[in-house]
Amino acid sequence: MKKLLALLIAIIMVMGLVACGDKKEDTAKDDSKKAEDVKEEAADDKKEEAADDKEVDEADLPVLRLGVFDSRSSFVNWYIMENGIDVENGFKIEPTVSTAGGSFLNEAIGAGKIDATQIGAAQAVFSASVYDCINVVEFSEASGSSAIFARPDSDEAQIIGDNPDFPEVRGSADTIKGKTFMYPTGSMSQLTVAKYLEVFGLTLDDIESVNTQYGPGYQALQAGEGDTVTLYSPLTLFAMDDGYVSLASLDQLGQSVRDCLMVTREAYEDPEKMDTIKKWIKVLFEYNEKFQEDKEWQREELTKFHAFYGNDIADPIMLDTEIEKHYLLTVDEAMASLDDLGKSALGVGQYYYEIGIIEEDALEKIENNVDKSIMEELFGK
Amino acid sequence: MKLSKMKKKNNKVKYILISIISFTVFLIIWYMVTDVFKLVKPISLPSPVKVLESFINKFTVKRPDGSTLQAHVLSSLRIVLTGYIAGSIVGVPLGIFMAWNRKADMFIRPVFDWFRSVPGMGWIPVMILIFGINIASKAAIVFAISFVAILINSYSGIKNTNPVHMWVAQTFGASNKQLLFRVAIPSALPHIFTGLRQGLNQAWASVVAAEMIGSNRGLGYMIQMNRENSRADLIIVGMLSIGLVGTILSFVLQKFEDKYVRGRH
Repeated sequence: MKKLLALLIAIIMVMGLVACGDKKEDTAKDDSKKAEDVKEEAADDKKEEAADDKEVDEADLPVLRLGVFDSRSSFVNWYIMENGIDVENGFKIEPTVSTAGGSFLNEAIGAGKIDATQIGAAQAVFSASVYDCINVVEFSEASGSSAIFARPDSDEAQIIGDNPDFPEVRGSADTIKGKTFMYPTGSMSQLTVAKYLEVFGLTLDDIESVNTQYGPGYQALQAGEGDTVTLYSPLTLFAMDDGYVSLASLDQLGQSVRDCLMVTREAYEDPEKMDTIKKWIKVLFEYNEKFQEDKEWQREELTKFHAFYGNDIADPIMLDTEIEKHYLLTVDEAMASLDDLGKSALGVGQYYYEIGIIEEDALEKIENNVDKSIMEELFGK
Repeated sequence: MKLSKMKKKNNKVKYILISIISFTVFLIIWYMVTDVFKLVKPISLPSPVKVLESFINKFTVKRPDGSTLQAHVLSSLRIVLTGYIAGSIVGVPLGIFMAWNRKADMFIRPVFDWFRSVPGMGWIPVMILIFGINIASKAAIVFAISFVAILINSYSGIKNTNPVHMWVAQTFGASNKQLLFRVAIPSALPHIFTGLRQGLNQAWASVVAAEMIGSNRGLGYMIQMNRENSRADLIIVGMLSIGLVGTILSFVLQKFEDKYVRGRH
């Protein structure tokens, strides 16, 4: 029994020693791990400090509160923000994204939430006439983005070039008269329809107009309602993909509609804000040009942009159509048409005046609230 | 009796006076903020004077949204009343049926619980696909919104029938049909009318969502169009008109309830 007890004690002691040994090793391991941790922590601290420095730097940068869209008009701006190009160039964009058209951005201007906004000519009419904004640059041609679609088996889709002056336009007076056109009334789409009817010597009185927003209008066409629907990009791309036929787009009807940068009066009269806006314009045109030079890259980034806003558009034909129909202007192109700055908003404004949406004094404001000097200063006369 | 009538009349006068004072104070604050101290830009919040001017003009001027105010009101009333009447015709009997019949309740309730949680705007795509872009789709949206309040109140009215009344009727040998039509429904009428009033308010408030589909006039359309046109004065005119017509409709229904629901007051 004594022997057994002595053996048991001996085993316990040996195990104790082994355990101690392990503990030592563990301690050693712990020590080395601790040292590594300390190193890592130090490295992390350095990284954090660097990040903090960057954050501090970013926080110090002048901010441009910019109204943007979730559509093609703001694609380049999205790329600039996503890749930190704004920060690299010494300013920070604080975007207000509209998924509900330009009226939302005009309301943001009214509420004093933004300094400037990217906006289509149709709503630039109100940015200038109601909110007293200044049109300082037009950066893309968007007239190809508004188009009238019909079913592929419809009469109007079968005829093309009925009026030789408009060889790409489909339909004829006989096939269109009395048909139901769905579009948001009092908008650029109404202008598209009115211009389309003019091609065949018709007016809005010759058709039945139904006021529908783009999405519901397209759904209605799919559900068998109406005869045509006027859509705006990217819905135009989906309609094409679904086999609907474009009767005409605004560019084919000879109407230019450009995206503008409308600057609020407060920002316009603030030299520091205008410096930031000038930096933005420079960077925007730099990337407009880069994208126009490399279409393959533009397609890739455009796909990412659409995916970012929940649209699955990866088909090269659809992307090329968007690139061609909603065209990014290069510096040369913008400068070549600088004397016409504001004309596209004025053109839409004149139509709005004709149909009673705005008063005559609003036209004056649209015409006067334009400043070419910013582009001249940045890119020379 | 005479004293109580006089007291009631005094209370009514007091209520009207307080309402007038409340509105006047609201208008004065609005006027001070916009016209006197100019704390808000007119493009964001026009003054009450400007809104009143636009309100009066809108009776004769069609610009910029294509119709006069009365044409907008009539168009909206047509849609709202169509949807609301349909909602009442379905909602009241269905609510009573669900409350009275346990099996029906168990069968319909899961679908109804899903149905009532869908917001008004959520119905737009479905209604377009089912009814197209005519008045039916707009009225169907109003129906979907008003029907829920009407059904819930009819249901709870029947469920809350005083059991003592039921026992007494049963003791006197009332049949199931008599229990429903002579006891449960009459005692549920105040609840049913509350549902009808709530449903009417919600139906009228849903006009903006309903008129997002293929409208060329209507108060909802007017608000949307003038939002596009940056005309805050006409947006407020549209809002005020919705409130005003809603109050009138609610008042008419209240009078109807006062007259026909026994023991209401």
